[in-house]
Amino acid sequence: MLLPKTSLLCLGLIFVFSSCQKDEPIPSLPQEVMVVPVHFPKAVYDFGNFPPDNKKVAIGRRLFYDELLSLDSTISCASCHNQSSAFSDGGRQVSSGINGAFGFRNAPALFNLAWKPLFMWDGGIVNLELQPIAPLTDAHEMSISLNQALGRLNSSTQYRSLFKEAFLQETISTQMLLVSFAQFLSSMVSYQSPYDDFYQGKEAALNAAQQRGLKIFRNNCHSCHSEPLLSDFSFRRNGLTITSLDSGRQRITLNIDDRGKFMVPSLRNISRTAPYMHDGRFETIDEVLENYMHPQNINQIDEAIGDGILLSVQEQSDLKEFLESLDDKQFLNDPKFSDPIN
Amino acid sequence: MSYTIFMNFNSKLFIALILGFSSILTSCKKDELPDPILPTQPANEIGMFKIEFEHLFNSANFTLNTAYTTSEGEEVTFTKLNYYISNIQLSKTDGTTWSEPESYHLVKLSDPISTLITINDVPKGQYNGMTFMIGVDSTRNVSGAQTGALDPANEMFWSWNNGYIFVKSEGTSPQSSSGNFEYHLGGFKNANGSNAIQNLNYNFGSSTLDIQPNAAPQIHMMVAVNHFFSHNGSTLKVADMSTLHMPGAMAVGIASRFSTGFMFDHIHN
Repeated sequence: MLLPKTSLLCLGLIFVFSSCQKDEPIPSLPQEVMVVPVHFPKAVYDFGNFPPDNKKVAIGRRLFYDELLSLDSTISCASCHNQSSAFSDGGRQVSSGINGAFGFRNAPALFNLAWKPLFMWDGGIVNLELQPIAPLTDAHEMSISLNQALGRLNSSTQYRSLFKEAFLQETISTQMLLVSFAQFLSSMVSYQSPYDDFYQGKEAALNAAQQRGLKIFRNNCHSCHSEPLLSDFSFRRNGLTITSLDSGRQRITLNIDDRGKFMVPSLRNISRTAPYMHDGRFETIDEVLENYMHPQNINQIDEAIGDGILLSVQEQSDLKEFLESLDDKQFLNDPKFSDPIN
Repeated sequence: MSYTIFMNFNSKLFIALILGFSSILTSCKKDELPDPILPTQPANEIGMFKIEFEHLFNSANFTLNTAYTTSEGEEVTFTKLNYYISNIQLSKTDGTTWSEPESYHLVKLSDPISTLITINDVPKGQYNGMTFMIGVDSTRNVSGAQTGALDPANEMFWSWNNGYIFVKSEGTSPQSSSGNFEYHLGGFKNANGSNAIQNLNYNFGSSTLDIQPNAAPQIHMMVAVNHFFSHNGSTLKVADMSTLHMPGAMAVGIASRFSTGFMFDHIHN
């Protein structure tokens, strides 16, 4: 065992409803509880003044799959974040929004979002509750204003009644919409891969090649793809040619030193999340490994990569075997996250 | 509809219960010391006041959809002018201050009612100064989904680079190559000189804001919108730059110049 079984992360019923939300109903403490895997660190998202409950999670799930939230009612969040691809847009470099518009970066996989300090490849979004605003309102994605979305939801007797039951409010507000999304997104926790079992002491969970691969991973990849979330959520240049169209983290910080840096993605479910990198430039894991061995661009490359990380053919093979152990089949097939409408 | 989240208990994956993942409860606090939670004041100890913002352009009454000429000779017609006034604080001659709780106000010239801000539950007394921000304090720029004036549905929020748009001005100008101008000013980070928050400080001079039960004193502010384009030799020409949608030095420069147009005029008690 790497971790004591009993490290209960219970923070208990420490709720202080601060005065600034006095106009909001104070939710009664839910019977249900939000739970996190014991081998994970403390989460970042704190649920604000809205303790997690299943009613809000259920609304968020429904919203995630509802095409009502795109301007022409043709796409939902799930159109570009599908479960079998770990909620990435399986196989697509960039995704298509309404009217055939294309976004400019690869749709990220969605899991363990409550542990992410920042969102998007450039970290421009700072709170899980604020994340849905971007795809909803972006003209290349769902292209709907928050007021239009709220108007549609408030015109639906079904949504009104669901929200009323969850929030004790007659009119659906932006906050109710975003909190419901955030609670569903928080519930999407991927923690049951063979790697997780091994991490918690079940040695048989990984075969010999995978165990060798894990050692190679820990010697070469771990400093950025830190365990157990498999990302440290930092921004780094990993040896890609930088296109003038996308300055990465610099777009947010305006700091020239951040040019071409993107957030380190988690490697969980990696076999399902191709293509890879912020622009989906690599179709296969082999191409990704090739870039770490022989970077396209070593100018200002992250020092953890340096001139490249050389691995033997056997090491590459072991490492790839290990990466397969990051697939969380329970998560990929969990009916709790599937389409509740159809 | 009923199901339970994460009920996948087993001995290896011992799962921790967690309610509200952390004790971080700072999301409603401002940068400065938190406001003390005061007991409710009795009605005979409190009053209210209003702040009226009257807008001018080169001394003429300013309204949307009217053409004005800047000092650089450009013609500008605003179709939208919205800005945040936040963190209003009153001060007395003895140095004590009173801060409005939850002090976030969105002034929209398209909505005349919003140009008259009403502030209730102020401890009675004579006040001789006021401070406020044009913009939104850094903490609220990075908090979760907000309500009221800070509701993102007010479209004063950048979805892709989180933070509030402190001042949103849009309109038309024949000097713009596109025919339009759009200046969205914001930015709260000190790094790279992109903090566009404007802290304004007024002394009422010989006037006093006298807060009493059953009184409705009013602070009259003049806003010289022409300062958006020029003041003291610093200028913005629509022909040079007609669109700005991001934080940074340009936004700070315009916000700073615009703030010089906010002038205390008088108080009616």
